[in-house]
Amino acid sequence: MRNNTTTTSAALAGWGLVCATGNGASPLRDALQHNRSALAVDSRFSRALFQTNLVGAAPQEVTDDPAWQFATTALHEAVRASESILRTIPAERLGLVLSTTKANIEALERIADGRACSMVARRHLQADLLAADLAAEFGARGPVQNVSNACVSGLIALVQGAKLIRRGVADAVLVIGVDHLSAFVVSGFSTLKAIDPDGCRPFDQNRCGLSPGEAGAAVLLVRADLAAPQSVYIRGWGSSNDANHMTGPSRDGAGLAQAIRVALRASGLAPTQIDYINAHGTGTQYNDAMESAALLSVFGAAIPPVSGLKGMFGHTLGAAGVLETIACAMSLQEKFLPGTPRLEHVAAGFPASLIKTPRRAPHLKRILKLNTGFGGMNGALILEQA
Amino acid sequence: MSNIRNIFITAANWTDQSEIATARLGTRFGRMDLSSQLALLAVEPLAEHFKSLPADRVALVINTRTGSLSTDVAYWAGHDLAGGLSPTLFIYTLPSSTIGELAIRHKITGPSLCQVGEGRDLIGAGADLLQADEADAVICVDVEVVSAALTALIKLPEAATARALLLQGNGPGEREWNQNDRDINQVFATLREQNLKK
Repeated sequence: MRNNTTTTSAALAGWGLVCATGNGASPLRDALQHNRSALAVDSRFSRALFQTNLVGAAPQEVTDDPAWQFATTALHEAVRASESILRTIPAERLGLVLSTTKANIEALERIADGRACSMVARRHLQADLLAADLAAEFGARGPVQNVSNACVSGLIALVQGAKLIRRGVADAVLVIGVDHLSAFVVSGFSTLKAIDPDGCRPFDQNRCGLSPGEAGAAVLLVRADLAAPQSVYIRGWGSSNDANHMTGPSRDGAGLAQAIRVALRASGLAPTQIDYINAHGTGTQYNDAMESAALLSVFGAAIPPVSGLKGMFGHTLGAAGVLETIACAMSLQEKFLPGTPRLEHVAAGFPASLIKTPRRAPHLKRILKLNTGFGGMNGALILEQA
Repeated sequence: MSNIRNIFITAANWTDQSEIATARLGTRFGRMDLSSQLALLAVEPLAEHFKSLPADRVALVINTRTGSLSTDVAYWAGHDLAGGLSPTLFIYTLPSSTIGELAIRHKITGPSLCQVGEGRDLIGAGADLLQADEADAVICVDVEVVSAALTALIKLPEAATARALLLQGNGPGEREWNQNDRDINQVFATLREQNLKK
């Protein structure tokens, strides 16, 4: 395995979000600092079609176009947060990368059920048209991409944004992850018996599945030299495939370990230089065991502090990588390690460094962010605060 | 960045639904969705060019205009049927499911990217992986499936096609890729003219 040559090419200039913790970055920061789970009963999912009605629902009005609604809510906040930098970027140098697995799947349900569905909502069934409309709405006339790598999509979208900047085709890129709770997706995971009816418990000895969630999460990535002092940078990345199974991860974690090693080499870092790991942590039996095996393989007995956040807002699919990266950026800025909401009893053999509750980390500098997904996909992203 | 100066299209292939019935690609093949089947068929003849490379140095870049929407429609139709929703179909309601099937078939463990759109940057994204030294070979696949049921929802004609090409850097290639050749329709039109089908 050789090095790839990613460098510190892009910084996070601002962000915005909507998820189960609430509208905006502040409620998420508060939930992170207090280890609060926002999973709650949602009557939309009370039918026999679904394994549970305990989900991570965002506090937004239900419309026929939740993908647009969540994406624009998050993007407006991200744009406000980075207004001073954005003003200096010509529209043709501003790109947009959308990450989604199901775009506006709400439209398909409505059409099939004979319910009202606007032409725009129907248009946003197609992820590329959703991306084009978002780019037009937010004045991004540079390159527009649309990433759909299962639950690694958000992380890969951030990488694609950094690559657009590295290639010199954009000075700034709006990266937006979005997926909404739908009968389509919750029923699908129910058919696979992949949901924990009592709410997900990542890395817990009694874990038995994930909790569906929804979010819009947006980041403005900018060329490193345009970023403010103390910004959080993308230091490097790696991705891989298990080449093993469509839905189940490899048992030995070799694929994820490979992605982590590529990211470390690309960043010019040794494992000992990682201060904290933000895990994918779905709460399924196999995912969490696989992640633990991968971490043991790369870090040996010295696994840095690790935690997972899906017990807070659920599994937000195509938004997960962006949303969880924002949480990591908040941790770097405010020097704390998030906990693992809903984790009670760490499963035997899992890392002893798993964090149940948040703690101060005055020297926190580098975070390894992990995501994995159906189709054997793995992603690793290293964030660093200057 | 790597020292790659030139990128070559070392093999190409295209296929459609007519080849599925006679395909001999193992027992898994029959259980896959149409997009995955077409992608596998398109890539199969290219394998001789990448099978000797380290598995972690082969990358997959997929483009699909409508993603998994045809499978989505078929899956969701089950909620009204006595048999109910199919977990097997649900697995294929991700645009990137073709990546999983191709990776399993060819034991490819390198990086992957699935883009949903017109594919303007399909080859450019592959070239970027080579130039950044993230891979030694990149399999680029454009797969399009628009079922009859889907045409009732979106303004695109029925389709069931896949096109694949293999990008490699610095090696002996049959056709050098010009970085201005971003339009995949034009690239494949030229490849067809040159009869560069493996």
